Amino acid sequence: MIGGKLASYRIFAQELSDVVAARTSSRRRPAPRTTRPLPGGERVPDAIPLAERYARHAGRGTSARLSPRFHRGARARAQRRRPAERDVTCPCEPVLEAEVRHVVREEMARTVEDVARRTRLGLGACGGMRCAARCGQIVAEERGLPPREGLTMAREFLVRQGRSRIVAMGPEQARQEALALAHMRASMGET
Amino acid sequence: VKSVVVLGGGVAGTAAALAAARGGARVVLLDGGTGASTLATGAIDDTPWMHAPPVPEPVSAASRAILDGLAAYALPVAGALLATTAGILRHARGHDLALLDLAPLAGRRVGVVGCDRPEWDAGALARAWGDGFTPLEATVLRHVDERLLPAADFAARHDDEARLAWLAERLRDALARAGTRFDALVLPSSLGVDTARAQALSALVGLPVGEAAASPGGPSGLRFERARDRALGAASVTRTVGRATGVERHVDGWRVAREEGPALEATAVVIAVGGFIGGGLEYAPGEAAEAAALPPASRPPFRLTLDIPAAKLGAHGRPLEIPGSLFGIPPESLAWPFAPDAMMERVGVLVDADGRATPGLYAAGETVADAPHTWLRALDSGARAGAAAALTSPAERPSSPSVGPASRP
Repeated sequence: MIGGKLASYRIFAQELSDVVAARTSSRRRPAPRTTRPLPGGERVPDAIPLAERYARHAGRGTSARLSPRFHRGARARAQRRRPAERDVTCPCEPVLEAEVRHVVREEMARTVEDVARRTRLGLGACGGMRCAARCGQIVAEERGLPPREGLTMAREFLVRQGRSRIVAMGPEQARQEALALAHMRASMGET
Repeated sequence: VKSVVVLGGGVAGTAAALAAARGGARVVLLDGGTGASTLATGAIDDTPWMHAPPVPEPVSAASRAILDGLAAYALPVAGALLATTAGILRHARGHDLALLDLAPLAGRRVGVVGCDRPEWDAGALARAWGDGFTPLEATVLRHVDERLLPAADFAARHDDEARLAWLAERLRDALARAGTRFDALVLPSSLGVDTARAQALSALVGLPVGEAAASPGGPSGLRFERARDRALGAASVTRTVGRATGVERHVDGWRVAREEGPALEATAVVIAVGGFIGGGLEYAPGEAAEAAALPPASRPPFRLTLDIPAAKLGAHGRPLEIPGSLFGIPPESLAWPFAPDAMMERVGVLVDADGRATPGLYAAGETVADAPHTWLRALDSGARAGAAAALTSPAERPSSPSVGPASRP
């Protein structure tokens, strides 16, 4: 199995195990629970009051963009924990610090790349230039790693992103790429 | 009087203009907007900082004179140590005067001043910077909007004397409440845009106080622009806003065509239009223009955005030549992150030690081939090119087939 969204893995697994069961004439058909909510999606909260609450803190535009994400219930509840965690870590997408902490604690994210896959952190207009280092700090802190590890993770994420962009580089993207390189060099060097 | 036209108002162009003016030339600087120079983080490097030798190389007298003229930078003999908002302590050759140099503070207790802004988390930064850094609770935001205000706008508020005094009072309160002794304080990008206010604030607080080096695009770039405008004014350099479209040989030297306004004429021209970020160089692969023409044309995919037939592009000390294959140019040779030999870092105008591309025509900064893209190298190449340009005599004027000696009366 290659690719696919996390949400559809269990459907793939069910179909594949049906095929395997037919071939091996196994009578015991496994029963993947495709209706069980994924971590963070247990409850559908009311998006509007949540968005309103964040509007006071993060600005109205940010909260409007955030509200569609609040359907992931547990993640939204996690955002109420500490006021400081309502800081926006990724301004482009935008992802709150609480979301980053939540996906590390509850959704098995281990690196900046994992956080990006789960929250779209760093996948917006700036390509992670403004948030990767901070996200690395948070992930390292949550995992009890030294801060330097967080920086290494951030750098690995940015390098991977850069490589995936360059293969399709055109005249306009070249300027953007030069900017990204200058930014990476200025903020995290090559360590 | 010799006349020099400098194209570009970044670090390299500014240095070239100031050096040419010191050399006695009449100087016009054509500025199409500051490119990569506005991305300054406040750190001044001569080599990419992670490759910098432990003992910094001496800075040339010419560069030092330019820096003195700008009056906005410190260049400690032994180099500087700066804290960055990415959580690193890094060496630098020098720094914007707003930044706190940690080199003299080894083993001391540095307070990381708490500030409720998105780029700043005093606790996390203190942990990342390591031993000697302690968060210090303080009130540094005075108005509600300052939480989300862009860093440069926030910094501009401390250009005001009364506001700076207010900040000093808050910091003194915080120090008194903390109970422990602090030897210095580090703040987010905030200390002025017109001029760096770190010294004034340090005097008011009674401790060294300064900024951490921020991500590119903060107030440090604006402080450069203000310092540049003052220095150019003091040196009687004419600064004109506009863009050049072409540079060509002319009977008595060079003629610079502009988008708007009459052409400028000069004995010598310094091209400091920047690299890819500043818009001086362009990546223009054949595939983008003629997708059907495969295999890729052997035409090099880089060009100067300015039409200058006399300027030769190159990399690795040779005229530009990138062999394409059936599959095009390998991407890793163009801009692979952290690959020091990637073309984007090497391509530019080929010049000699004085920055001369051809007699009377000079290049500086990121426009130059094979030059490390650092602040101090840009300044140094500008200083050298400007000084040499001011010495260009009309006798050195280039002969050209179209406007040769025979065609003159």
